[in-house]
Amino acid sequence: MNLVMNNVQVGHTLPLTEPLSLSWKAGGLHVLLGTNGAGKTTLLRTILGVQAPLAGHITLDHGADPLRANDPRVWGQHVAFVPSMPPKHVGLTVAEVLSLSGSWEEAVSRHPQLEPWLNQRLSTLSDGQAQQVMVARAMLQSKHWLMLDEPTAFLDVRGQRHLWDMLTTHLERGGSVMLATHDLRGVHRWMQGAPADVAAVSSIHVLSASGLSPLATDASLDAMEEALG
Amino acid sequence: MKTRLVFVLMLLALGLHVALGEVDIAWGELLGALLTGGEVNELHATIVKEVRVPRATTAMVSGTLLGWLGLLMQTWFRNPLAGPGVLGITSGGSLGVALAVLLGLALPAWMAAAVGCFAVLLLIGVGARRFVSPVTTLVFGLMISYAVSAVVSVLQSSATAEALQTFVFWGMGTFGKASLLQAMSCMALQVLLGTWMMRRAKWLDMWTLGEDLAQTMGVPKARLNMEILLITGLVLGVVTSVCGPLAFLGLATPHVYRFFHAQRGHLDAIQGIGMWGGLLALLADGVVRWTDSVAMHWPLNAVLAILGAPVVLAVLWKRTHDWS
Repeated sequence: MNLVMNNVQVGHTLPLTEPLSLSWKAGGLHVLLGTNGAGKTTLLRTILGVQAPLAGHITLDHGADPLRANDPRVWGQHVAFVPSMPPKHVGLTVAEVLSLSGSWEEAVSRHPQLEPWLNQRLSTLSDGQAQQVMVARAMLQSKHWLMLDEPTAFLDVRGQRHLWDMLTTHLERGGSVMLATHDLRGVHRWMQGAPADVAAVSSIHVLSASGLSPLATDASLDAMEEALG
Repeated sequence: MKTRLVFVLMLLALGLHVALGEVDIAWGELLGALLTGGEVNELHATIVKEVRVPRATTAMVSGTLLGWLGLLMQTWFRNPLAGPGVLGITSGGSLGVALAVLLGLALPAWMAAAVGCFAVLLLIGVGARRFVSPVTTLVFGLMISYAVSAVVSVLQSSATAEALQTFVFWGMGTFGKASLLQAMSCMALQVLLGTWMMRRAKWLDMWTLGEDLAQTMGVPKARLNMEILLITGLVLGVVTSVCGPLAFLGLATPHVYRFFHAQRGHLDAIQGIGMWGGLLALLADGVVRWTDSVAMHWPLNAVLAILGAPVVLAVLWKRTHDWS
């Protein structure tokens, strides 16, 4: 299911960028780069259906009958979200959080590292551990797209490695991933030094006021820095 | 602690509340009065049926309702210090009573309170479209409270001493003025709110994960907001009209529950908090009735605060890390 944007304008009252038209290929790992304030989060919320676009529409290719982002219940089965910061003050245990979106047994068989935390409350986990739970939950909700907003912001190197592994699992199962981030170095490290068993980046786009511009997936760090301004 | 134990304690408190009082009524006679059989003194039967039963059931049911509303508000605002009072509905009740009593209108206090509460609810209903987030609602409630205190103090400045006293007494809260009919309407609300919360437990669980995330998980935010506002307004309006503006029960009960039980999802919390709310309200009213019997007449709201404040402090002390 390709994720297609057709002349989409995002923003609250004024559009943040020129109209965006793009098709993100299903089954790939896509990176959305942008500086703070470029509108990454707004674009992500719009794609997630939480916020309506000012113009245009967003669809998922689905044969003759494309799915549209304005029906949250149907949309949620195909597009799931991982916020940048794991939620705080949550009385639910890890097993209960997972159960909100499917069977926790399934999540644990896929990600055995979750097992020791099942009966712990989400708020008592470290940020890195909680983020893994949130990714596992999103994978239960949607077999297709996972949208992650600054997923590495609160993770140390080991936490990032776990995250890559989980996303790789998702891609291997035919899913698609979109990462919105300003963390050039993190993305570049992933592109360059990622171990062979971690999925390769399929596309990089830089979001700015003039719209989305593509970057080569083997671009140098200097080229990326320049593109980001 | 098992919730079953809390349930037994609550029933025990209910039984004692009905059985004990200034007029000694033998156990056999008590059962007779309740089940309408056997030799029963007519005065005793009246006391049991028209005084003690309405009061005890109103206490228990109001405690349950306020505990649930406290949980609902703490979830909705994602803030452990939220309580049912934050919507400004209770303040609306105060304004209604202030207008009626201090201006000397021929309207019973409970009816004036109901009118005041529902006027605020109507205001919320009209503005609900603009209440895009709980925070907007919070500020709205706060402003209502400020405006009400201002109007009340203006009214007080020119009221008679007698009217002033009536108003102050209403503000202290009591379970003792409820009629059997009022007790039964509270019970009907208990069924309504309980059913609604059980049905929405999953949405509420999702809501605790964050507003955006909950929406991507399929929670229709606008509809949930609207339902929460309406049902909270309705329940709080009726409870305030019957018992006065009750402090602390709504805020404290969920914390008491979290103190004694490992907090779980909403489905468990609804049951546990319902029982704790009923138990705490009965205990508080037990204290009130005891002080009445020794001619001290402590106000219900004072007892609730004396019992409630240390509990909330103790809980926050023990659990600071969860809310840091």
